[in-house]
Amino acid sequence: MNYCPECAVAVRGDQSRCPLCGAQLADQAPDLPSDVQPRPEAAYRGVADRVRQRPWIIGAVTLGVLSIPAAVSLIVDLLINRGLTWSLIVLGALGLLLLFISLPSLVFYVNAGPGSRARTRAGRIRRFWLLMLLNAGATWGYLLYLDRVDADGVLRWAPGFGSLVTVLTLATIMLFFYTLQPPGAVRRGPLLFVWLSGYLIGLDWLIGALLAGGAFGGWSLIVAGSLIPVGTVYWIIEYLVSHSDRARRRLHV
Amino acid sequence: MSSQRARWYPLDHSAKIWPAVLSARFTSLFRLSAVLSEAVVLDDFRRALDLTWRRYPYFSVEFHRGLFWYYLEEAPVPEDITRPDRHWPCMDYPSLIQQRRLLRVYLYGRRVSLEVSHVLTDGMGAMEFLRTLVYEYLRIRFSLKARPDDPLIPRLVSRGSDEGEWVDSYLDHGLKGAPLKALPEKAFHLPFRLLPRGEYRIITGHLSLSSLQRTATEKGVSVTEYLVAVLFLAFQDYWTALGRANRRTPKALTRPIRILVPVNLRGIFESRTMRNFFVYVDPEIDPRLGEYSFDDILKYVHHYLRGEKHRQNLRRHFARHARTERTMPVRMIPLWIKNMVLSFSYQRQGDSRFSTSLSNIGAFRLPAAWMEKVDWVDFYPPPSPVMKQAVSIVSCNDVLSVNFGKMIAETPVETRFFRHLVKLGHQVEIQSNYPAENLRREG
Repeated sequence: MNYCPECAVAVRGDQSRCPLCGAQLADQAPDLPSDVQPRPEAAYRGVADRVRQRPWIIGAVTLGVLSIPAAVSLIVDLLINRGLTWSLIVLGALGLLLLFISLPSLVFYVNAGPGSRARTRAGRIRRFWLLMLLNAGATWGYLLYLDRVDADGVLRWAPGFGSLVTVLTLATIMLFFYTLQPPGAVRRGPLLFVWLSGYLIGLDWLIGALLAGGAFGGWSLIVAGSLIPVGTVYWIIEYLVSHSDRARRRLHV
Repeated sequence: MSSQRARWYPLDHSAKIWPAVLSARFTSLFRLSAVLSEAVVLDDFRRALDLTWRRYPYFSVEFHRGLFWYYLEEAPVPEDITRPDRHWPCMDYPSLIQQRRLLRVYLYGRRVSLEVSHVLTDGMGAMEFLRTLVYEYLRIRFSLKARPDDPLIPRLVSRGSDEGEWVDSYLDHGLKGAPLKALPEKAFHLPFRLLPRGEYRIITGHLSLSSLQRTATEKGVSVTEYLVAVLFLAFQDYWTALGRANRRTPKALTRPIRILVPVNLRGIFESRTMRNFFVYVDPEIDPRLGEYSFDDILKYVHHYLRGEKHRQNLRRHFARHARTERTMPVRMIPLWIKNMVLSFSYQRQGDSRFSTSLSNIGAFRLPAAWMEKVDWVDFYPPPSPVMKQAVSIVSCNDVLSVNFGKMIAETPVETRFFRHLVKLGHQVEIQSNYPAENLRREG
């Protein structure tokens, strides 16, 4: 009689592998705990866990889905206008969508490999700011392109309204992803609003200096000011959450 | 196999709720394990399993979604129905959904486990299947012979199956216009966070059945009543400790403690069905009214359970719905609408009304020569993310196995439960399916 070292069942005959699990059979029965209880190590991995392990899946699926409208608009544009006209606008919008959907998962779910927790965290923060810059650049570039196409090469609304839209979109995304981070990130929530205000004012100044002849737009001050009540609400929620955490510790009685 | 038997079966009355609420945490799976005296020999086991499937062909079914109802359809048993036992118990939701099999067998050394969905049958049905499987396996493995008139021989292939075994007995005993049972208020639940999806921890305590029976008899109660009372006491202790430790306890943590105790209806309604046929009774204590002593609880549980377990009262739990669901207008409602209604109804009336459940499926019995080869039997309850833990009990020889199935890491109730049993003079041997260092760390 042979024994499977994994499932510990006995197998008659001259089989070399366990018919249940495929493990190489041994002559002797393995030592099992006295309670004969298998002790599973890993939990069942659902869809979300699988995506976390392979963050590129989100990008690949998004690319697959978005390539259909992209191909349709290209073909229709080529057939009707015999060249690339409005389809470039659609392609640009779809490209932006791809960036917005697929990049965050690469930043937050990528497996950092072995290393200290601090290093992993530092890498994540670096990738986060890189993502924000990339997203801001792409969005702003697209809006500039739209403005130029719309006004035959003259920039009219992109430096003002366009930058406001860009920055607000990015601020929303940043808030959303930053607050989804593991414990610790949430605790620094109020700080986030200070950072965000600085970020907006800096961007406003940069945009004004580079594109609008050195004038400071001033819109960022209004947005940063409006962040104060949002930050206050955030701080209250954070306080309540941590308070309930403290209360939770008193449940171990 | 009878030629008259249909190739497909509707779900029984009690099973209908499960597909509407199935999820990775609400899997509807429970487990019965028999631990034999030596490692299972795979070749003999497969022969025994084959014989057992032939005896219970209505368990070899796939679960399908129809336009108006879910249904079960007989299908050949796949090769991988027997699997190595490596993962958390009662949590194989992907297999349940993708392969649509409601009964699987797991092997680990000398442990034979049966994982069954409540969509298919209840604990008593699964117990019959396990008895036949273990009987056939030990008969083949050790060439055992029993007297043909031995009452402990399970249902065997030679006797064949009959229609009474797969009927929906709820329907047979349903009554149009029967009064509904009043809905109790929500119950106290343990306040801890759920474990990650797919993790289901088991804590098992093995006690001497004779010692417990002796104590219970001295008190004039049954073993189930005794253990329900100890479970109430454990919950009450934790409930009271929470109140003392927190200056202001949230309202949700001051609700009454209610335990769901399933009652097997087969004996009461003279049914031979192997499908679900049980209802529950729901004893309750309300510590807001003052602390109960163990004797108070024991007296209350004893009289409550005895008082509730009569034919008319038990019928109240299912009679009206079992009849209504077969009326034509209800049958013609599309399944997705039925699912929404059932899911809503479950949220309102289901596990939120119970703090925990305690299910005792009695003794695992086979002829004496067979019982020498079975060390003990375990019974794991189906997971409930609302109650967060449930208790199930089974006995074999002199070993009574009390199993806590948990979806939380903390152990406030089971610690108190087993400590009370030790204080009451019983020896308890604790086992768990997760590493001991976790047990120590978490209390």
